[in-house]
Amino acid sequence: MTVAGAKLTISNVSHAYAGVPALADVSFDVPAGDLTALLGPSGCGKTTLLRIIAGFFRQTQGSVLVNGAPIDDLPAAKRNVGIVFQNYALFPHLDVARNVGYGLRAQGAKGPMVEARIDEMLRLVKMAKFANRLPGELSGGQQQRVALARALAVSPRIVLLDEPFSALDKALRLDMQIEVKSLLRQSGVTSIIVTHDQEEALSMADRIVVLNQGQIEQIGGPSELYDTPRSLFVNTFIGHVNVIEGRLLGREGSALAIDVAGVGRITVPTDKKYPPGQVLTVTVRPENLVPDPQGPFAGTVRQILPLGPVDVIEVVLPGGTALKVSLPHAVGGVTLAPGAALSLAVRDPAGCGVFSTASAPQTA
Amino acid sequence: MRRAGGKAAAFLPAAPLALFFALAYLLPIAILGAVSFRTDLRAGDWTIAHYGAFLGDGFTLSILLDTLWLGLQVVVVTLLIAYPLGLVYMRAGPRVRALLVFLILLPLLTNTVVRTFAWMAILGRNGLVDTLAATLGFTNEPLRLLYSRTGLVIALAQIYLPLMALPLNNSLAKIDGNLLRAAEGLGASSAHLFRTVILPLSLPGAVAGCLLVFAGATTAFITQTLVGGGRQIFMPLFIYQQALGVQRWAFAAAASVVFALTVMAVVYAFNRFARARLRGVDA
Repeated sequence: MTVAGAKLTISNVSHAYAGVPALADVSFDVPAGDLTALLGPSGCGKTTLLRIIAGFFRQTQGSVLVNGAPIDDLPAAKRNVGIVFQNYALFPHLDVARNVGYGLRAQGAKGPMVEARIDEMLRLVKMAKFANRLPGELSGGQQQRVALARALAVSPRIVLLDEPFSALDKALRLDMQIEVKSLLRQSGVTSIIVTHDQEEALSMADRIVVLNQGQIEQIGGPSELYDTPRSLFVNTFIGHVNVIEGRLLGREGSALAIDVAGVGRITVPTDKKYPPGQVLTVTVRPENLVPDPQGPFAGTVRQILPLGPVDVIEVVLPGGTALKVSLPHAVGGVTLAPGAALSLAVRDPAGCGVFSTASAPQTA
Repeated sequence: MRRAGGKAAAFLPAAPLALFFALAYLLPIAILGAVSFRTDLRAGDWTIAHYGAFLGDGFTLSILLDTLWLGLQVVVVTLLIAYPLGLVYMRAGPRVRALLVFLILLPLLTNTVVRTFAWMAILGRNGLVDTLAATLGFTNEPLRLLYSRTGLVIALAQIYLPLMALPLNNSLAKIDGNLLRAAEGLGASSAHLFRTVILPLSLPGAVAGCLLVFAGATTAFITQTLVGGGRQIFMPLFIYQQALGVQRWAFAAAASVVFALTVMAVVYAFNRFARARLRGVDA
């Protein structure tokens, strides 16, 4: 299993379906052997991009390059790109071994070499015992393993995974994510995982390309996107966030002073520049808030959600804004009752975001 | 008791239909079966002589085999026409699909007898095909398609094509598009994709179509007789001649029983053979 992944380049790719734009001038690189996630809400163009890379249709404009060479004129069958589909798309009439060997045989391989490769792949995904089963006789996780083995069996340069975990139940999902991630690492193949699930993107990918309405919002590592989102969209799409509206008072050194109705004056460190008086959106992650009697956000507890590792408390401010604060769970849980007064302070102001309210969030 | 009574009551509305079937369908078949074992229609003893006469005669057996052969020829022709049509249907959008279904169903709106006479006009001497072939300079001789085996197979294939195309299209349309993409992405050529994915997954529809077309083409009395033109004798015409022409009712009954059982046996055997290959495929 020493498959060298290839570098993938998406160069100024645009696509329109019958005149309706789906992708607008998208460009990014995926380094060889890297695992990149295409993350975005449904309709953002991520599946369109996946199908363009796979060669199922041709983009209106731009180019897809593998190791610097354009592959736009190659049909899907000649691209050597492996695909794992959302519904796995295993051939229902072929047993597990024949599914895994399908690509090799389709490309003309025969005999004991094919059998050996099938064996190797089945052992890799721990499915050797199931070689003679039909896909319909397998669980979702097992089907996923077979789908991955089938895609990797032909030693592709690039593997595309289309919402690979969405059909699995939550308990199994994390296990499969860990397993698939290590298998992809082990094979050294360049991988692109398309997902609308931000947790999946954060847990799987080295780098995440956030797509929204056919355009790239931001490209970066998981922590980078989580901590320093470039737009309110990225901020609200990845992780949970409290959104607070305020009016800019002015700059104070390295921070902006903002007046929030019902709260008063808060300061947020940023080097962004806005004219005084502009309405701004301040974002604070729930885990970046902490109960503090001196804190600026004084309100009333509305409800408590014990989620296990964290307890989430919803606090309503006098102005009507609701803030969520998540606290690491202590034995016994939260002792506050709904209706109790609670003041909150920001733990680390550097973790807050400031955006002009014009760029309103585009998803709920 | 109450439940059993309730069940019987539930079937009560179907009783008139059941009675009709019993009188108009099962009873005649029973009479036919009984007559086939009599020496004569009105009198005589029980005998299996008619079966011996049918099965022991090379001439009658050749008619039976030729009838089955005709059914097979029509099945093959409809399959060859229906698959390309089905591939178009499979990749078409909903509007083109609706149009194709309409076009496939359209001939069924015309009575079989009318369609048969239309084929006689098309295939006949100085008919459409002859005139066209002569005009285009393909041939100076009349093609003599009417009353020929080729003409008969063409006409039967046209008449029974809907019975092949509809179940086949249904099967093809059910194939998940991602399976085709998966195969393509794994490097399969169009031919390989057809052979390894499309063909096996559309087998249930193809099998249903084959059985319908076979049963239809072997028993198509009117078309066989009019387009085939009496010189070609198939089982339905043979039975008709034996019964009404030479009044050998009991022999005709035995021939009918043998013919019906043979067609059923072929259908059953083909079905068994196909089912064995349908592992994992939704029927």
